[in-house]
Amino acid sequence: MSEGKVRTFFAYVDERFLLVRAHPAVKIVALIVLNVVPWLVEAPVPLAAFLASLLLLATVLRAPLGKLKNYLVYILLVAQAVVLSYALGSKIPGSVAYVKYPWGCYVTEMTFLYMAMVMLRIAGMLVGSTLIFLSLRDVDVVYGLKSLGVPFAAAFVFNLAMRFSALFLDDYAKVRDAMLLKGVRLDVGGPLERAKLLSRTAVPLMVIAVRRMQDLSFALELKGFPPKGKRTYIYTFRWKLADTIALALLIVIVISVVALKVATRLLSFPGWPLV
Amino acid sequence: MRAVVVEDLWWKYRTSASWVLKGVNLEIDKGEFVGIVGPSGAGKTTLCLLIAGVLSKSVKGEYKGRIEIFGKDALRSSLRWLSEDVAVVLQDADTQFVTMKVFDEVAFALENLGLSREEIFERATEALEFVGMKGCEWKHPHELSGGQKQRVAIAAALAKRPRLLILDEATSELDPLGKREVLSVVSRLREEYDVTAVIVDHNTDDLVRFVDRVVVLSDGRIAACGDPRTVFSQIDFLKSVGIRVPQPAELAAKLGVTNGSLPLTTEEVLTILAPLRGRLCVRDDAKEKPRNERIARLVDVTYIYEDGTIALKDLNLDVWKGEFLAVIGPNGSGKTTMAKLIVALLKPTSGRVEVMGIDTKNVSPSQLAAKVGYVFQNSDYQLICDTVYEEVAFPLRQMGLNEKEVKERVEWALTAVGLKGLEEVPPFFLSKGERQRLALASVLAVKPQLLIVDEPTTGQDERNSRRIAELLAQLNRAGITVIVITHDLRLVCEYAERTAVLNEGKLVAVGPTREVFEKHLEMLISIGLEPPPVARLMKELVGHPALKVDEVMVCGRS
Repeated sequence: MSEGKVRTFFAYVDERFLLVRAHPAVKIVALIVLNVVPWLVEAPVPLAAFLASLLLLATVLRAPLGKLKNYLVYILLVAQAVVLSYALGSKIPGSVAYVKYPWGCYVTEMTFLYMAMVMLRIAGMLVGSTLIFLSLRDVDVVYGLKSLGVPFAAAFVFNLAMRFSALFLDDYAKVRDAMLLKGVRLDVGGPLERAKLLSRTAVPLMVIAVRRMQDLSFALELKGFPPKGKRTYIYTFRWKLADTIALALLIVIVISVVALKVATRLLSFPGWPLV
Repeated sequence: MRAVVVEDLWWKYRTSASWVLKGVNLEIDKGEFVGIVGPSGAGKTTLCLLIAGVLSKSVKGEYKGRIEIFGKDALRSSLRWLSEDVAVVLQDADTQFVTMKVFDEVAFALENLGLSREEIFERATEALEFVGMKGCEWKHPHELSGGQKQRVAIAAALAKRPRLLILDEATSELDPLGKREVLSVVSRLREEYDVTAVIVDHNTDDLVRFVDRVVVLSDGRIAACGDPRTVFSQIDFLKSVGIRVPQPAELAAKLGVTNGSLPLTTEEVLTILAPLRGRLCVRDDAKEKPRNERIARLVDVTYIYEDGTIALKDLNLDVWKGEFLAVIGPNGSGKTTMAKLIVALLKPTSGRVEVMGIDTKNVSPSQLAAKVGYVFQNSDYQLICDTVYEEVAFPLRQMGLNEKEVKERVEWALTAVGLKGLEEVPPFFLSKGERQRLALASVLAVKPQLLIVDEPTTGQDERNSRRIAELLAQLNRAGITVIVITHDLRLVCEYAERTAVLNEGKLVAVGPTREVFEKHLEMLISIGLEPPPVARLMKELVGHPALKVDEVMVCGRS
């Protein structure tokens, strides 16, 4: 590992990335808030403001958001799916109907606005989650959840699932290679045909996962998990003033969003300033 | 004092039709190192997990009999009570790594035991130092080799300061270097730790160095038990139950020079054979077959992974039609990358890979599938259908063959691998060896001209290893070009016509197998490979290596 680098779920990040130093509980709360807020907001302009604030925050905190480029293909795929689904299968009323389909769906100027809202919502969640995952170390998940009152065994199993998801992805890649070597053409045929062929990967993946789970359960039991009596925790995390401020800010954000959503139409579609 | 007492132990899984263990009786003294050998399915792991107290509590099954560990009833005592005394290192290095850092892994069980933080740090540091992993405390699992992960698993076991340590095939999936790392730790355990150990391993060449007693488990029963010399002197019996006999013992028995005490290690047999130094000779019956038609060709191939790892660098290799080529090298030397380049799963970063005249840059793996077959190390990744028949038929249907031809080819392939009669069985109901042969059958049915098999014997017992190797040799005799990627140099010596050696992405030697072992024996050892004992012995005694025991003779007496 390079000097001054910390290993997190996504990558090695610079120690100077301030969020790394936050208390694990704050990171977990932030992860939840940054994923819930975009779902509560339907108005494109406030969502755009939210996204801009996150990007600004990332810059101030020296977050290496450049890592997001590794996921550019997936981001583009999601964007493509959003555009297609709203362009072909939505009924969002507006003043001008640009296209009317025989199956009853149509495209209006509000359809474009709705598309933008969904994209901003996904982008907000993606940037927010990336920001947190870039700062989240494995111990943060267990200690963060435990600090929030989740039993240790449950928190540990959650962490374990994240560790084993990497192995699962590796297994998937191998099964897919094996299918290609059996002469399966995944680059030809219709989507249904391809999905049917890909569904075959479920058989070996399930069997391998079940075998792995059984071995894992033996390994855990042999290590005395779940602990029956008092357990020792080797890491300690000091709660700092910055953690209190961050937590308070997160709570204020959630309360404000909920209040505005309930009491006004500012955050409902199309929302401020287009209401 | 007895560490372990197993009395008339019977065990049956809820899903199994018959008893897996059938009246096992075994006593292990405190401080004793006991080796358990036996073919796959003999009940070795079941016995280990029952001794550790895990199986009877977490898996549904039926049992009779009694197990005592240092006086505690292992079948009925709570796991927490037992886990302070017993530690187990399992086969799969990845699965038993339950945290994300080396130090956390070693500390995990101690945290669960509720020890003080100071004691946890002291014990974990000591255990990591013992296994030679000091300085790696904050590394992640993916940054460690297989051998390092198993050393961490041993450290985690030792940190509990157990009185009984069980190593259940802890080295069977490691490369020779990884095995050597783990075994050197086991060897030091004997000298420096007050511990009783049960070691399960297929590799008897290594096992005999560390154990006081060997238990042969076959079909759920103890078929033999005693000191290693006594047990391994029953060579024919051991071979009949599918156990690999240490090569030094086999050699001494063949030459009739046991002097009343069977040598088990290279050093011992060297002493016994020293007086025969001038009279020993190595027979070489192999006739070099002229090959002049290329089936695959790698020209100046370099492959760099996305993370920047250079897997292969300027590799040049010709594969000749009809040959049996072994590709050997330590982990990370680029063997599997090379195979993936040949089957077009990967495209070279620079250079050219040609298979039957086709540049693999221009084809997809599925387009090459009818010409080149590839069997994975873990065949489970390749089994995607509901029955054995469907599994073999699947690639044939992808090729668009009619049902009559599909049926004929499936029958032929299943007969070739010895699975005829199991057509309707779901693949995952088969044993590990059978699954490997099924994966091979589904590749064979396509009738490829080139067959690449990745680590066919890793984790397999002697009987399965031998069966797969014989099958590959038979296919090769039938005209199929075979490339075997392996760490098992016994397999290479016995079957491969030509051997290519890779190290750090470069081809460091290639040629007829005998020539490679003759000229490069020291180099093979230096890069972490493990030539068979007979090769090293004969190199020492007569100046050039033998590839198998049968080749060694006392001149004048066959």
